Amino acid sequence: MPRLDVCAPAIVLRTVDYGDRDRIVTLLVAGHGRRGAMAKSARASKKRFAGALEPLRVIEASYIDRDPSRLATLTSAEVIEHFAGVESSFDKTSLASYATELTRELARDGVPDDDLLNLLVGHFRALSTGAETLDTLEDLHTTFVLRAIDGAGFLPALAVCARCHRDVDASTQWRFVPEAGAVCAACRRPGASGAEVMPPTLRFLADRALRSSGAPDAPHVRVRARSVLRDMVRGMLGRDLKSAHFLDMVLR
Amino acid sequence: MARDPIAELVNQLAKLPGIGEKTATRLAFHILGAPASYARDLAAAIIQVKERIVLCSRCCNLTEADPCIYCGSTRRDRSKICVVERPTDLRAVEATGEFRGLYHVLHGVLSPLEGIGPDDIKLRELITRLQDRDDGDPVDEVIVATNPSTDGETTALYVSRLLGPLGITVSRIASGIPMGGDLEYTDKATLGRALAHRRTI
Ligand SMILES: [Zn+2]
Ligand SMILES: [Zn+2]
Repeated sequence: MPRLDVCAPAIVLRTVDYGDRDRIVTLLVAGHGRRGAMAKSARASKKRFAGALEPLRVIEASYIDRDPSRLATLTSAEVIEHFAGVESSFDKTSLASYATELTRELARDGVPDDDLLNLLVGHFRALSTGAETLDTLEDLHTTFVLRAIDGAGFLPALAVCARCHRDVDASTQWRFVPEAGAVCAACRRPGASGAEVMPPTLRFLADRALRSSGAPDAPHVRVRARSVLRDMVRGMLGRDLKSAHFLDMVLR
Repeated sequence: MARDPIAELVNQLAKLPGIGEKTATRLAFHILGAPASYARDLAAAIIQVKERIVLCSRCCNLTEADPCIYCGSTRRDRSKICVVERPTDLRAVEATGEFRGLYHVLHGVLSPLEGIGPDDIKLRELITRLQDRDDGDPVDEVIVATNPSTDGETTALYVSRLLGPLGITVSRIASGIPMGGDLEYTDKATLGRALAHRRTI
């Protein structure tokens, strides 16, 4: 494969120190998808990539790509947008980290996904400049998670039954099956897993998948929606995200 | 079956941070070529460090005597605690000569992206120490000197959130343009931070 010189906006999804001098970074790069790159001397010389090899900021990354099966070589990285509102808040940092980790899981090596990148940057901006109450923070978080899952093609049914497509309403009992979504009483398979869920919770989530704010909801709906959202991510990945623990510290 | 002793030494040395197979081989042959007394002293030093160095029961610093020299000293300012990531950071702060208070070593930082939470570092020990008002030190300020990385900042924010209710002032070491630095070549995040945390002169 010929040598490819890439210079594009990117977000750092992970950093791992390598030896005493170097650092390996996982990037989500505009137009190029997820890419691992070796940042030579990143630890030995703080000047080289000054502050740019950190998550939760947008950088312009330049790297040389010779072989997609090996790490690219990062030649320069510069911060082009940072989020002061996120950096100065434990709650916002925690939510932004969760979003970053979800992105890391959903992005694919070498498969461009600018929708996901833009979604993440938009989320950082919204967290940074707005969202002063915990409820508005959680609304932004919920919308981000649902849209990211939707973009990856894994969004379960929320407004209709996953099997018969009838609208979610109060005329029957509903369950939430992580890999399928809302399932009505008539479609429920005997002995199948899935916790009972009330229509207002499903409507709340369906609404948040479309926009980050809506009618205020009762606290119990919010709490229930939170656990459905977690089941959804767990069902999709087969485990919790590592940063889920931080999410619990914020959304109590 | 016993391994070839040279291969075994190379294998053990290569586990050290920053040491690759090549360097490990070079070190192994250096040891092999040195007098037998050197090999004995090296081995003894390695064993001693593990047997004699413990964590200070107050500040979690590495020490031979518990409490450590800082916690045990009567000449330190016991109203201030400087929180650092590692023992090497403690040494760096101490070397400045600017700080005469006590320390607390976290042995790591919080990292949401790596799933390193409050229970994975020595945070509980810090809280216990500060809550222990009868027997403990009259602390009125905690200075968080973690690295100015995303994880270091997250840790500082968490410490501040944790200690707020105890009525202790939590401060953060300043970060920004290094001495001898150049504004034009400073990245946006660092320059932005330096401006946000400017001081009156
Ligand atoms: Zn149905
Ligand atoms: Zn001590």
